Amino acid sequence: MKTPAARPAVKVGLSQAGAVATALLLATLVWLPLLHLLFRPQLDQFYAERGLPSKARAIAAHQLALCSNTAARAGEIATMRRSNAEWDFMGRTYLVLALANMGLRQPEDKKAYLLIMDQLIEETIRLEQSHGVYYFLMDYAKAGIFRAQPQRSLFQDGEIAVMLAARRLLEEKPSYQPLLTRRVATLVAQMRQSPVLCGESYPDECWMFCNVLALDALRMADALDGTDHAPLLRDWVALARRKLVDPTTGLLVASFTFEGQPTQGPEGSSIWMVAHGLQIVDPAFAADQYQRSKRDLARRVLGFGYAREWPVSWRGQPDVDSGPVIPLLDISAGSSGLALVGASAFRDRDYLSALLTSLTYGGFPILRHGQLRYAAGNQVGDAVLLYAMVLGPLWAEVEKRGARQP
Amino acid sequence: MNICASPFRNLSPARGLLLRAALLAVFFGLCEAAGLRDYTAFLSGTQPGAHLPAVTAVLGVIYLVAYFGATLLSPILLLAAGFLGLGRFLRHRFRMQRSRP
Repeated sequence: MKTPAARPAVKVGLSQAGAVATALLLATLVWLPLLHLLFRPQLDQFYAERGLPSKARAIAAHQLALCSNTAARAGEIATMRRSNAEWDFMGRTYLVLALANMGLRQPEDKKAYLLIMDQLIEETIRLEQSHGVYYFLMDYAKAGIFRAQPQRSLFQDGEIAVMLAARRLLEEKPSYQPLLTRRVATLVAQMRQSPVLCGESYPDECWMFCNVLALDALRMADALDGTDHAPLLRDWVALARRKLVDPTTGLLVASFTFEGQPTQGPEGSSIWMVAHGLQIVDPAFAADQYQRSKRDLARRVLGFGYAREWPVSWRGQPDVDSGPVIPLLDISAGSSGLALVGASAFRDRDYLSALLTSLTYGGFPILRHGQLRYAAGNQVGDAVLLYAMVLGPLWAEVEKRGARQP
Repeated sequence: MNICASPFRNLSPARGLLLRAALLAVFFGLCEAAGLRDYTAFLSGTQPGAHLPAVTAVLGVIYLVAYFGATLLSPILLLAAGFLGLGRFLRHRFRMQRSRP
């Protein structure tokens, strides 16, 4: 039983606790909606129709410094390969694509970019030739047998072809012409063996991401060498619309078997890049896929933009592509990173700005000596960001060179 | 001496909140100065340096706690301290007005 003297003290204590709780609640309600204002960057630092935005220049400075420092690059690659050998490969592809766009934006720096592009392309081809088809694949690739013959991964052939073509679009290099022609022939041969005109990235595993990049390679080769893959591209789009679209969302599925049986539904870590890749294959289909992705995957909370890995109607398992998925909101690092590519490609400035706010808050940027990197990511993550900031001119160059529409 | 006694016990609630906000900011500053930001790479499944994955993750989590403490919690504590101070000021003024003849 409390003494009479204790009662006022308890009452005062309770009233103080109530006041503190109310103040904390009010403060939370005030602060949370304001937080994004501290991290919202100026869009023109990241995105520009012409020239190089300042942040792109800083990320490029870090990427180019890595390329010229053998020990640092080896360390970065080893770090990524410990988690996923694909990242080593895709880091090269995205950097080459970014440099091609940068060279088209800043012709005065083209020479320096071409040197790095050649270094990356030649090293990649050398590694593929000396270590074989599995070098840039995850280990489980060795457990199965590719259905199409000869045993090749469309993931590697497609991205190497895209790199070769990007380099030649920036400036012709005659020795790369036969290399591209051979890769393109391989891509076509692999794709034609499948009932859905799609090549395998892993044994009996076709990925939409890889197939769309392969289509881009065909389209770029047409622009460069006057070949005509338009009928194949047209047939591919027609088949994909019929057989590879998720019936609920209308989004292209992420992966499927050699026969065209979906194994995963739509995924954010795939569809944003797929929509961008389709821009030079079938612009209307590309815009449709972007709009659907935006509707089903793009989200915004308290001024921060992000992307879900899966639409509400389908749920997969987090993997190396999705990155960690934050429960409840279903925030996916992989999908959000590639959503920057989609938003930039479709000039969706509003969503891009919201995504960049999240990047600035949760990507943990480190700016040292004019070089920018994001600590929460790695080299491939930074290369994707750089590509998102500079993309555009390369696809415009493909269109300009008079390649035919399917 | 009671070593478990709260160091905030003798402070007013507003000052207690201010002190907590300051401690969170200092903790974050120390983590930043120690270079722990690099260890947030664990979020993407990569490990900087030659540390074991578990060490990288622990250092990364420590940084995240400090970062969100400083960017989320610390401003909320500051604002709450401001609201408490404002409430006290308004109560005091109200009492003064009521006690005037």
